[in-house]
Amino acid sequence: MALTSFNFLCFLAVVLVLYYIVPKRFQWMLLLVASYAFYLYSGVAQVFFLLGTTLVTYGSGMLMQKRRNRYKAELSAEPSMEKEKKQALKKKTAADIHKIQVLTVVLDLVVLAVVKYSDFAIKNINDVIKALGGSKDALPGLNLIVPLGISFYTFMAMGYVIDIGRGKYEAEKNPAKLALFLSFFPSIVQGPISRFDDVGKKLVEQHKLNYENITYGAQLIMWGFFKKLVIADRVAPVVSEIFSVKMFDKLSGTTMFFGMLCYAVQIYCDFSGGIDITRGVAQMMGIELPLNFERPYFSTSVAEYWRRWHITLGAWMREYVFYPIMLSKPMSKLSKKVKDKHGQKAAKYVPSVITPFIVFILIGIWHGANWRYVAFGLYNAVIVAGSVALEPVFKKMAEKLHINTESKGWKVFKIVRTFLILGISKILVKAASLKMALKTIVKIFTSFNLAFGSEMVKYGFDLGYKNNIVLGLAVLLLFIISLLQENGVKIRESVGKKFIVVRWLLYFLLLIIILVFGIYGPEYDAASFIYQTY
Amino acid sequence: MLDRIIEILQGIRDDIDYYSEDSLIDDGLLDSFDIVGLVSELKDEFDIDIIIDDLTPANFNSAESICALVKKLQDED
Repeated sequence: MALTSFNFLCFLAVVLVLYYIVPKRFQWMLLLVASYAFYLYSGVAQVFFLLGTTLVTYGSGMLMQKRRNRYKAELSAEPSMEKEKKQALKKKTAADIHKIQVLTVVLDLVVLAVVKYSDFAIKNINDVIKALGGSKDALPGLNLIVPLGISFYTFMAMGYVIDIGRGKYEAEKNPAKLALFLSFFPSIVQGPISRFDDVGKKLVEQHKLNYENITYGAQLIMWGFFKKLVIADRVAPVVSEIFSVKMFDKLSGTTMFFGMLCYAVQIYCDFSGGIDITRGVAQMMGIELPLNFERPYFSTSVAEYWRRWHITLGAWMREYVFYPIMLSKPMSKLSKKVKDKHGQKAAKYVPSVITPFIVFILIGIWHGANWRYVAFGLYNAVIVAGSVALEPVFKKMAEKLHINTESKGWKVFKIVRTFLILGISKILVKAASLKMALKTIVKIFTSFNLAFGSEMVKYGFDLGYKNNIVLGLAVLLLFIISLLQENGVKIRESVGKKFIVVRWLLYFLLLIIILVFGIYGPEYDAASFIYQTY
Repeated sequence: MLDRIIEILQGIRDDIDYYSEDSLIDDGLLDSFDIVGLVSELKDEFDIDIIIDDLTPANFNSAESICALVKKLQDED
């Protein structure tokens, strides 16, 4: 059930009415039932994966908590315990907890790998066998159905297990409450990747019907619909044609560059629009989900972009991959070695250059099983690590060229530069294969045709005069709103303060725009979300 | 100790007034690379062991909170 479908809106209306009718202590239980009903709609077999992950996560959390409680009891039973004995006890407890933690995370990863990556691995093994003279397709593919949202809920489950292992908070005693955290229906489709100590608590709190939450939530949902239906789904067919294999020889590099820009707009509106709907739905129930986007295309560097795009995945990676690697003993040893040989500065840069490669390759693979995603990760890592390593060089260059790095012009230049660098990485995501992606990138720099619009008309995938105007105006509106937000204007609060007639006129205007200009498929259902497949 | 910590911080980024700034992390003034650099220098300078659990915004939002963290870790040793 897509978040933009008519069925979902009906489902949401029923859940909302019931949510505020039932006694408040039953609200979270209703959400759990609704979440599993929503999930069952996507397939019965898939529920077993979600249930399995939930049970393993719950059991693991309880085991770690029990072990930690035993340690505390031992300490309080013997207040005058010698320091050495105390330290030995602490070490033993940490080791036991660590074992449970590692085992659970490995199990989570194995399930994710088998479901999501086994066919990719089998295909590559088959290619090697074939290259060595063996038969074609020596190993049969498993063709497993990837359960809805598995990449999202598995990461949330792993975050929970690691947090309990670190003693950040106590394990949840009620398995149903943990089940709700992992299955909450608006966010299971494409995130955000929430944390238990934040969202887990909010989900089980009691919520009163609040006018502000309902209207602000509804505004966010409408804005999400606008981004997804009016912009993303309108531009989608153009992007698909430009990056299709059959069109590659026919189109110029300039058209492909235009396709790259369109795809940047499409994927942002598709993903952030979906997240707006998710956050809006949750807000209507009084639950605040974490931000996942903060106008990423206004970033002045790729590193900053990754702090503003898919924020919760970036935060997850920082917390559970980046810091642990950077602060690990092997990395400290390496730093010390480099420091002895090449000095303090080099020692600082070596881990900062190595770690992005691990983090970004993981981010790439998280998106899917394909060499294109590995290349996408590598590309981002090279840019981020390169900018860290070359920072002093860039600083000196700016000084020598007398560039005022505080000026607005320089900032705009950096924003455009970052956007274009990221555009290239998006080709790696969109193209049919890694080979096609590389060929497309080369073509952009070698084949020019300023009248690229005529190419689109010639091959029949131009949107037409009216659609082009709608798209242009919609993107302009998105840009203006984003620019206002970038300058600190809180749009929903500002609209909320307007005179009631003006306020409602604005709501109706946006609703009419969505209804009239939204792109709808068969039975008025919109296309599914791109990130739903990750 | 506070002065030495501010010296280290200035070595990482010299355009921040560390005496008054109290949202180094919340306002994104220091990024994760800066934090890792800072942690390794603090480890060497004060002979302490900083672990991931210590990497909370509250511990790194100001020079004073960093100083308090270092003192706490020294006491634990």
